[in-house]
Amino acid sequence: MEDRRRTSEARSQSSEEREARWQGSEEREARWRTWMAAAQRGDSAAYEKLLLELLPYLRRFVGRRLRDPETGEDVVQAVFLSMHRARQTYRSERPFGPWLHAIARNAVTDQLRSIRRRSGREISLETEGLPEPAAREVAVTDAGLSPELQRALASIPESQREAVLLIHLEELSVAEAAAWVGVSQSALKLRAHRGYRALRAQLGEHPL
Amino acid sequence: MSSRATETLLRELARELEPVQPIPKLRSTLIAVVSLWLIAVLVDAWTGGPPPAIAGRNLAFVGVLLGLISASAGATLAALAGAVPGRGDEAKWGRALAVAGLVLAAGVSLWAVAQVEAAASGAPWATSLACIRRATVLGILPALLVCAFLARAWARKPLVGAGLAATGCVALGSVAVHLSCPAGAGLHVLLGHAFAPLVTTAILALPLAGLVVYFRR
Repeated sequence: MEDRRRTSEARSQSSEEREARWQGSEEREARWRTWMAAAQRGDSAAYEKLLLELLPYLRRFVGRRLRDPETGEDVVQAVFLSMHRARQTYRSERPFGPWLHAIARNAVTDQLRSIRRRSGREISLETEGLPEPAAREVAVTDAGLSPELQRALASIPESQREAVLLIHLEELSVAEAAAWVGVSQSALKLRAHRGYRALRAQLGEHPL
Repeated sequence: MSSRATETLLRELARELEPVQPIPKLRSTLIAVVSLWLIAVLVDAWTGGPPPAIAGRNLAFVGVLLGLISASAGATLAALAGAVPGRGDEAKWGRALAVAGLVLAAGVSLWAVAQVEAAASGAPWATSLACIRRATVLGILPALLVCAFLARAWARKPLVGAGLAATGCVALGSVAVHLSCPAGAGLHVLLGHAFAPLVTTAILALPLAGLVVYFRR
Protein backbone atom coordinates (compact mmCIF):
# COMPACT_ATOMS: atom_id res chain seq x y z
CA MET A 1 0.00 0.00 0.00
CA GLU A 2 2.85 2.30 1.01
CA ASP A 3 4.66 1.42 -2.22
CA ARG A 4 1.55 2.13 -4.27
CA ARG A 5 1.09 5.50 -2.55
CA ARG A 6 4.73 6.40 -3.14
CA THR A 7 4.50 5.35 -6.81
CA SER A 8 1.33 7.38 -7.26
CA GLU A 9 2.95 10.40 -5.58
CA ALA A 10 6.02 10.04 -7.77
CA ARG A 11 3.82 9.78 -10.87
CA SER A 12 1.76 12.85 -9.97
CA GLN A 13 4.91 14.78 -9.11
CA SER A 14 6.39 13.79 -12.42
CA SER A 15 3.21 14.84 -14.25
CA GLU A 16 3.20 18.15 -12.31
CA GLU A 17 6.80 18.67 -13.31
CA ARG A 18 5.92 17.89 -16.89
CA GLU A 19 2.93 20.25 -16.72
CA ALA A 20 5.17 23.00 -15.31
CA ARG A 21 7.75 22.26 -18.02
CA TRP A 22 5.05 22.33 -20.71
CA GLN A 23 3.66 25.64 -19.46
CA GLY A 24 7.23 26.89 -19.31
CA SER A 25 7.80 25.69 -22.84
CA GLU A 26 4.58 27.37 -24.06
CA GLU A 27 5.84 30.65 -22.62
CA ARG A 28 9.25 30.00 -24.11
CA GLU A 29 7.72 29.27 -27.55
CA ALA A 30 5.69 32.51 -27.35
CA ARG A 31 8.84 34.42 -26.34
CA TRP A 32 10.87 33.00 -29.23
CA ARG A 33 8.12 33.79 -31.72
CA THR A 34 7.96 37.38 -30.51
CA TRP A 35 11.74 37.82 -30.64
CA MET A 36 12.01 36.22 -34.06
CA ALA A 37 9.28 38.52 -35.46
CA ALA A 38 11.11 41.50 -33.94
CA ALA A 39 14.39 40.30 -35.45
CA GLN A 40 12.77 40.17 -38.89
CA ARG A 41 11.92 43.85 -38.41
CA GLY A 42 15.60 44.55 -37.63
CA ASP A 43 15.54 44.53 -33.79
CA SER A 44 19.14 43.51 -32.94
CA ALA A 45 18.56 43.36 -29.17
CA ALA A 46 15.67 40.91 -29.53
CA TYR A 47 17.70 38.85 -31.99
CA GLU A 48 20.69 38.61 -29.67
CA LYS A 49 18.44 37.52 -26.77
CA LEU A 50 16.86 34.88 -29.00
CA LEU A 51 20.17 33.49 -30.27
CA LEU A 52 21.76 33.34 -26.82
CA GLU A 53 18.68 31.64 -25.36
CA LEU A 54 18.65 29.07 -28.18
CA LEU A 55 22.32 28.22 -27.72
CA PRO A 56 22.04 25.64 -24.91
CA TYR A 57 19.06 23.92 -26.62
CA LEU A 58 20.92 23.56 -29.86
CA ARG A 59 24.07 22.36 -28.13
CA ARG A 60 22.03 19.64 -26.45
CA PHE A 61 20.24 18.76 -29.70
CA VAL A 62 23.46 18.50 -31.69
CA GLY A 63 25.41 16.90 -28.85
CA ARG A 64 23.04 13.95 -28.79
CA ARG A 65 23.61 13.33 -32.47
CA LEU A 66 27.34 13.85 -33.01
CA ARG A 67 30.20 12.23 -31.15
CA ASP A 68 32.93 14.88 -31.36
CA PRO A 69 32.28 17.99 -29.20
CA GLU A 70 34.38 20.20 -31.51
CA THR A 71 32.50 19.02 -34.59
CA GLY A 72 29.31 19.50 -32.60
CA GLU A 73 30.20 23.13 -31.90
CA ASP A 74 30.91 23.63 -35.63
CA VAL A 75 27.47 22.24 -36.41
CA VAL A 76 25.83 24.49 -33.80
CA GLN A 77 27.44 27.47 -35.52
CA ALA A 78 26.26 26.12 -38.90
CA VAL A 79 22.72 25.92 -37.53
CA PHE A 80 22.83 29.55 -36.43
CA LEU A 81 24.23 30.65 -39.78
CA SER A 82 21.50 28.73 -41.63
CA MET A 83 18.90 30.20 -39.32
CA HIS A 84 20.26 33.68 -40.02
CA ARG A 85 20.24 33.17 -43.80
CA ALA A 86 16.77 31.61 -43.74
CA ARG A 87 15.18 34.05 -41.29
CA GLN A 88 12.86 35.43 -43.97
CA THR A 89 11.20 31.98 -44.23
CA TYR A 90 9.76 32.15 -40.72
CA ARG A 91 6.18 33.38 -40.45
CA SER A 92 5.17 34.55 -36.97
CA GLU A 93 1.70 32.96 -37.11
CA ARG A 94 3.35 29.52 -37.25
CA PRO A 95 5.15 27.78 -34.35
CA PHE A 96 8.87 28.48 -33.98
CA GLY A 97 9.97 25.04 -32.74
CA PRO A 98 9.35 23.02 -35.93
CA TRP A 99 11.01 25.73 -38.04
CA LEU A 100 14.15 25.70 -35.92
CA HIS A 101 14.11 21.92 -35.59
CA ALA A 102 14.06 21.48 -39.39
CA ILE A 103 17.07 23.79 -39.80
CA ALA A 104 18.99 22.05 -37.00
CA ARG A 105 18.20 18.57 -38.32
CA ASN A 106 19.36 19.51 -41.83
CA ALA A 107 22.61 20.93 -40.48
CA VAL A 108 23.32 17.69 -38.58
CA THR A 109 22.48 15.60 -41.67
CA ASP A 110 24.77 17.74 -43.84
CA GLN A 111 27.60 17.33 -41.34
CA LEU A 112 27.20 13.56 -41.20
CA ARG A 113 27.22 13.39 -45.02
CA SER A 114 30.34 15.54 -45.09
CA ILE A 115 32.06 13.23 -42.60
CA ARG A 116 31.14 10.19 -44.70
CA ARG A 117 32.40 11.85 -47.90
CA ARG A 118 35.70 12.90 -46.34
CA SER A 119 36.24 9.46 -44.90
CA GLY A 120 35.54 7.88 -48.31
CA ARG A 121 38.13 10.10 -50.04
CA GLU A 122 40.89 9.64 -47.47
CA ILE A 123 43.13 6.63 -47.97
CA SER A 124 44.68 5.27 -44.85
CA LEU A 125 48.24 3.99 -45.26
CA GLU A 126 48.13 2.08 -42.04
CA THR A 127 44.90 1.02 -40.46
CA GLU A 128 46.09 -1.26 -37.71
CA GLY A 129 45.88 0.29 -34.31
CA LEU A 130 44.37 3.54 -35.61
CA PRO A 131 40.96 4.77 -34.45
CA GLU A 132 38.00 3.89 -36.66
CA PRO A 133 37.21 6.36 -39.48
CA ALA A 134 34.63 9.04 -38.70
CA ALA A 135 32.19 7.66 -41.26
CA ARG A 136 31.63 4.60 -39.09
CA GLU A 137 30.67 6.71 -36.11
CA VAL A 138 27.07 6.19 -35.16
CA ALA A 139 24.98 9.29 -35.58
CA VAL A 140 23.86 9.18 -31.95
CA THR A 141 26.02 9.87 -29.00
CA ASP A 142 25.69 11.02 -25.46
CA ALA A 143 28.06 10.74 -22.55
CA GLY A 144 25.25 9.12 -20.54
CA LEU A 145 24.28 6.43 -23.09
CA SER A 146 25.90 3.04 -23.28
CA PRO A 147 27.57 2.05 -26.58
CA GLU A 148 24.92 -0.69 -27.02
CA LEU A 149 22.10 1.82 -26.67
CA GLN A 150 23.83 4.21 -29.04
CA ARG A 151 24.20 1.44 -31.62
CA ALA A 152 20.58 0.37 -31.17
CA LEU A 153 19.33 3.95 -31.55
CA ALA A 154 21.39 4.37 -34.69
CA SER A 155 19.76 1.26 -36.20
CA ILE A 156 16.13 2.47 -35.95
CA PRO A 157 14.52 4.90 -38.45
CA GLU A 158 15.31 8.55 -37.87
CA SER A 159 11.74 9.58 -37.11
CA GLN A 160 11.47 6.93 -34.39
CA ARG A 161 14.92 7.77 -33.03
CA GLU A 162 13.95 11.44 -32.82
CA ALA A 163 10.75 10.60 -30.94
CA VAL A 164 12.56 8.31 -28.47
CA LEU A 165 15.33 10.89 -27.87
CA LEU A 166 12.92 13.75 -27.26
CA ILE A 167 10.44 11.91 -25.05
CA HIS A 168 12.44 9.30 -23.18
CA LEU A 169 15.91 10.85 -23.00
CA GLU A 170 15.38 14.59 -23.16
CA GLU A 171 12.15 14.08 -21.17
CA LEU A 172 10.02 16.50 -23.10
CA SER A 173 6.28 16.00 -22.79
CA VAL A 174 4.52 14.52 -25.84
CA ALA A 175 2.92 17.90 -26.56
CA GLU A 176 6.28 19.67 -26.32
CA ALA A 177 8.07 17.11 -28.47
CA ALA A 178 5.26 17.11 -31.07
CA ALA A 179 5.42 20.91 -31.29
CA TRP A 180 9.20 20.75 -31.66
CA VAL A 181 9.10 18.17 -34.45
CA GLY A 182 6.00 19.61 -36.12
CA VAL A 183 3.74 16.54 -36.12
CA SER A 184 0.53 15.66 -34.28
CA GLN A 185 0.81 14.20 -30.79
CA SER A 186 -0.69 10.89 -31.92
CA ALA A 187 1.85 10.62 -34.75
CA LEU A 188 4.70 11.29 -32.33
CA LYS A 189 3.37 8.79 -29.79
CA LEU A 190 3.20 6.16 -32.51
CA ARG A 191 6.79 6.85 -33.60
CA ALA A 192 8.00 6.73 -29.98
CA HIS A 193 6.12 3.50 -29.34
CA ARG A 194 7.57 1.83 -32.45
CA GLY A 195 11.05 3.10 -31.64
CA TYR A 196 10.86 1.90 -28.06
CA ARG A 197 9.57 -1.49 -29.24
CA ALA A 198 12.45 -1.80 -31.70
CA LEU A 199 14.93 -0.95 -28.94
CA ARG A 200 13.32 -3.50 -26.62
CA ALA A 201 13.65 -6.16 -29.31
CA GLN A 202 17.37 -5.45 -29.51
CA LEU A 203 18.24 -4.68 -25.91
CA GLY A 204 15.68 -6.45 -23.74
CA GLU A 205 12.82 -5.34 -21.51
CA HIS A 206 14.16 -1.98 -20.21
CA PRO A 207 16.36 -0.58 -22.96
CA LEU A 208 16.58 3.03 -21.65
CA MET B 1 35.78 25.79 -32.57
CA SER B 2 35.44 27.00 -29.00
CA SER B 3 32.16 27.83 -27.34
CA ARG B 4 33.34 31.43 -26.88
CA ALA B 5 33.73 31.66 -30.65
CA THR B 6 30.06 30.65 -30.95
CA GLU B 7 28.92 33.38 -28.59
CA THR B 8 31.06 35.90 -30.49
CA LEU B 9 29.47 34.73 -33.75
CA LEU B 10 25.98 35.17 -32.32
CA ARG B 11 26.71 38.71 -31.14
CA GLU B 12 28.10 39.57 -34.57
CA LEU B 13 25.03 38.16 -36.31
CA ALA B 14 22.84 40.30 -34.06
CA ARG B 15 25.02 43.39 -34.60
CA GLU B 16 24.91 43.04 -38.41
CA LEU B 17 21.20 42.22 -38.49
CA GLU B 18 19.17 43.74 -41.32
CA PRO B 19 15.38 43.70 -41.59
CA VAL B 20 13.85 41.12 -43.95
CA GLN B 21 10.41 40.74 -45.47
CA PRO B 22 8.92 37.34 -44.58
CA ILE B 23 8.04 35.15 -47.55
CA PRO B 24 4.35 35.01 -48.53
CA LYS B 25 2.08 32.35 -47.07
CA LEU B 26 2.02 29.09 -49.02
CA ARG B 27 -1.74 29.44 -49.56
CA SER B 28 -1.34 32.94 -51.06
CA THR B 29 1.40 31.70 -53.37
CA LEU B 30 -0.73 28.76 -54.56
CA ILE B 31 -3.62 31.14 -55.27
CA ALA B 32 -1.24 33.40 -57.20
CA VAL B 33 -0.02 30.39 -59.24
CA VAL B 34 -3.58 29.40 -60.18
CA SER B 35 -4.45 33.04 -60.97
CA LEU B 36 -1.48 33.35 -63.34
CA TRP B 37 -2.57 30.13 -65.02
CA LEU B 38 -6.12 31.45 -65.45
CA ILE B 39 -4.77 34.64 -67.01
CA ALA B 40 -2.66 32.55 -69.41
CA VAL B 41 -5.71 30.45 -70.33
CA LEU B 42 -7.84 33.56 -70.95
CA VAL B 43 -5.14 35.15 -73.10
CA ASP B 44 -4.81 31.88 -75.03
CA ALA B 45 -8.59 31.75 -75.62
CA TRP B 46 -8.70 35.42 -76.60
CA THR B 47 -5.90 34.97 -79.15
CA GLY B 48 -7.70 32.14 -80.93
CA GLY B 49 -6.94 29.09 -78.81
CA PRO B 50 -9.45 26.19 -78.88
CA PRO B 51 -12.51 26.56 -76.61
CA PRO B 52 -13.30 23.99 -73.92
CA ALA B 53 -14.70 20.74 -75.37
CA ILE B 54 -16.26 18.86 -72.49
CA ALA B 55 -19.56 17.55 -73.94
CA GLY B 56 -19.71 13.84 -74.70
CA ARG B 57 -16.48 12.95 -72.92
CA ASN B 58 -16.13 9.59 -71.21
CA LEU B 59 -14.92 8.32 -67.88
CA ALA B 60 -11.34 8.00 -69.12
CA PHE B 61 -11.37 11.75 -69.85
CA VAL B 62 -12.44 12.45 -66.27
CA GLY B 63 -9.80 10.06 -64.92
CA VAL B 64 -6.98 11.79 -66.80
CA LEU B 65 -8.33 15.20 -65.78
CA LEU B 66 -8.38 14.24 -62.09
CA GLY B 67 -4.90 12.78 -62.40
CA LEU B 68 -3.52 15.99 -63.94
CA ILE B 69 -5.21 18.18 -61.31
CA SER B 70 -3.82 16.00 -58.54
CA ALA B 71 -0.32 16.00 -60.08
CA SER B 72 -0.42 19.77 -60.46
CA ALA B 73 -1.61 20.49 -56.93
CA GLY B 74 0.76 17.96 -55.38
CA ALA B 75 3.94 18.92 -57.25
CA THR B 76 3.39 22.65 -56.78
CA LEU B 77 2.72 22.21 -53.05
CA ALA B 78 5.79 19.97 -52.73
CA ALA B 79 7.97 22.58 -54.48
CA LEU B 80 6.77 25.43 -52.25
CA ALA B 81 6.63 23.55 -48.93
CA GLY B 82 10.01 21.92 -49.56
CA ALA B 83 11.63 25.36 -49.49
CA VAL B 84 10.25 26.32 -46.07
CA PRO B 85 11.82 24.78 -42.94
CA GLY B 86 9.27 22.94 -40.82
CA ARG B 87 6.86 22.26 -43.71
CA GLY B 88 8.35 18.85 -44.49
CA ASP B 89 5.09 16.99 -43.95
CA GLU B 90 3.26 19.11 -46.53
CA ALA B 91 6.11 18.57 -48.97
CA LYS B 92 5.92 14.82 -48.42
CA TRP B 93 2.14 14.71 -48.97
CA GLY B 94 2.53 16.93 -52.02
CA ARG B 95 5.05 14.54 -53.58
CA ALA B 96 2.75 11.57 -52.87
CA LEU B 97 -0.21 13.38 -54.43
CA ALA B 98 1.86 14.30 -57.48
CA VAL B 99 3.01 10.72 -58.05
CA ALA B 100 -0.53 9.40 -57.55
CA GLY B 101 -1.85 11.95 -60.04
CA LEU B 102 0.74 11.16 -62.71
CA VAL B 103 0.16 7.42 -62.27
CA LEU B 104 -3.61 7.92 -62.55
CA ALA B 105 -3.35 10.07 -65.67
CA ALA B 106 -0.87 7.74 -67.38
CA GLY B 107 -2.67 4.60 -66.21
CA VAL B 108 -6.08 5.69 -67.45
CA SER B 109 -4.59 6.76 -70.79
CA LEU B 110 -2.85 3.40 -71.17
CA TRP B 111 -6.11 1.63 -70.39
CA ALA B 112 -7.86 3.76 -73.04
CA VAL B 113 -5.15 2.85 -75.56
CA ALA B 114 -5.72 -0.83 -74.82
CA GLN B 115 -9.51 -0.51 -75.25
CA VAL B 116 -9.53 1.06 -78.72
CA GLU B 117 -8.75 -1.20 -81.63
CA ALA B 118 -8.85 1.40 -84.38
CA ALA B 119 -5.57 3.09 -85.27
CA ALA B 120 -5.02 6.57 -83.80
CA SER B 121 -6.15 9.30 -86.21
CA GLY B 122 -3.37 11.34 -87.75
CA ALA B 123 0.20 11.23 -86.56
CA PRO B 124 0.10 10.98 -82.75
CA TRP B 125 3.56 12.45 -82.23
CA ALA B 126 2.90 15.63 -84.25
CA THR B 127 -0.37 16.44 -82.49
CA SER B 128 1.06 15.36 -79.14
CA LEU B 129 4.01 17.73 -79.50
CA ALA B 130 1.57 20.56 -80.21
CA CYS B 131 -0.28 19.78 -76.97
CA ILE B 132 2.97 19.50 -74.98
CA ARG B 133 4.06 22.87 -76.34
CA ARG B 134 0.73 24.49 -75.47
CA ALA B 135 0.77 23.02 -71.93
CA THR B 136 4.29 24.40 -71.45
CA VAL B 137 3.32 27.87 -72.67
CA LEU B 138 0.33 27.90 -70.29
CA GLY B 139 2.44 26.66 -67.37
CA ILE B 140 5.67 28.63 -67.78
CA LEU B 141 4.60 31.83 -65.99
CA PRO B 142 3.28 29.99 -62.94
CA ALA B 143 6.51 27.92 -62.93
CA LEU B 144 8.58 31.12 -62.91
CA LEU B 145 6.49 32.44 -60.00
CA VAL B 146 7.16 29.26 -58.01
CA CYS B 147 10.88 29.57 -58.80
CA ALA B 148 10.82 33.18 -57.60
CA PHE B 149 9.42 31.88 -54.31
CA LEU B 150 12.14 29.22 -54.14
CA ALA B 151 14.84 31.84 -54.72
CA ARG B 152 13.51 33.91 -51.79
CA ALA B 153 12.89 30.95 -49.50
CA TRP B 154 15.31 28.20 -48.46
CA ALA B 155 15.57 25.79 -51.37
CA ARG B 156 18.34 23.43 -50.24
CA LYS B 157 17.92 21.36 -53.41
CA PRO B 158 17.19 23.87 -56.20
CA LEU B 159 17.10 21.20 -58.93
CA VAL B 160 14.46 19.19 -57.08
CA GLY B 161 12.42 22.29 -56.32
CA ALA B 162 12.63 23.55 -59.90
CA GLY B 163 11.73 20.10 -61.22
CA LEU B 164 8.66 19.97 -59.01
CA ALA B 165 7.72 23.51 -60.06
CA ALA B 166 7.97 22.54 -63.74
CA THR B 167 5.98 19.32 -63.20
CA GLY B 168 3.25 21.04 -61.21
CA CYS B 169 2.81 24.05 -63.44
CA VAL B 170 3.00 22.19 -66.76
CA ALA B 171 0.48 19.67 -65.37
CA LEU B 172 -1.74 22.70 -64.71
CA GLY B 173 -1.20 23.74 -68.32
CA SER B 174 -2.09 20.20 -69.37
CA VAL B 175 -5.40 20.52 -67.52
CA ALA B 176 -6.39 23.40 -69.80
CA VAL B 177 -5.12 21.51 -72.84
CA HIS B 178 -7.02 18.37 -71.87
CA LEU B 179 -10.24 20.35 -71.40
CA SER B 180 -9.99 21.90 -74.85
CA CYS B 181 -8.22 19.34 -77.02
CA PRO B 182 -10.61 17.78 -79.55
CA ALA B 183 -8.42 14.70 -80.07
CA GLY B 184 -9.54 12.04 -77.67
CA ALA B 185 -7.50 9.06 -78.83
CA GLY B 186 -5.86 7.24 -75.92
CA LEU B 187 -2.35 7.34 -77.39
CA HIS B 188 -2.54 11.09 -78.02
CA VAL B 189 -3.86 11.75 -74.50
CA LEU B 190 -1.06 9.61 -73.04
CA LEU B 191 1.74 11.27 -75.02
CA GLY B 192 0.41 14.82 -75.32
CA HIS B 193 -1.43 15.36 -72.04
CA ALA B 194 -0.37 12.86 -69.37
CA PHE B 195 3.33 12.84 -70.30
CA ALA B 196 3.61 16.59 -70.96
CA PRO B 197 4.68 17.45 -67.36
CA LEU B 198 7.45 14.84 -67.35
CA VAL B 199 8.75 15.69 -70.83
CA THR B 200 8.90 19.39 -70.04
CA THR B 201 10.43 18.84 -66.61
CA ALA B 202 13.29 16.91 -68.21
CA ILE B 203 14.00 19.97 -70.40
CA LEU B 204 13.23 22.85 -68.03
CA ALA B 205 14.37 21.63 -64.60
CA LEU B 206 18.03 22.57 -65.07
CA PRO B 207 17.51 26.09 -66.49
CA LEU B 208 14.86 26.83 -63.86
CA ALA B 209 17.21 25.60 -61.13
CA GLY B 210 19.87 27.89 -62.56
CA LEU B 211 17.47 30.83 -62.23
CA VAL B 212 16.72 29.90 -58.61
CA VAL B 213 20.42 29.75 -57.74
CA TYR B 214 21.19 32.99 -59.62
CA PHE B 215 18.45 35.03 -57.96
CA ARG B 216 19.10 33.51 -54.56
CA ARG B 217 22.44 35.31 -54.26
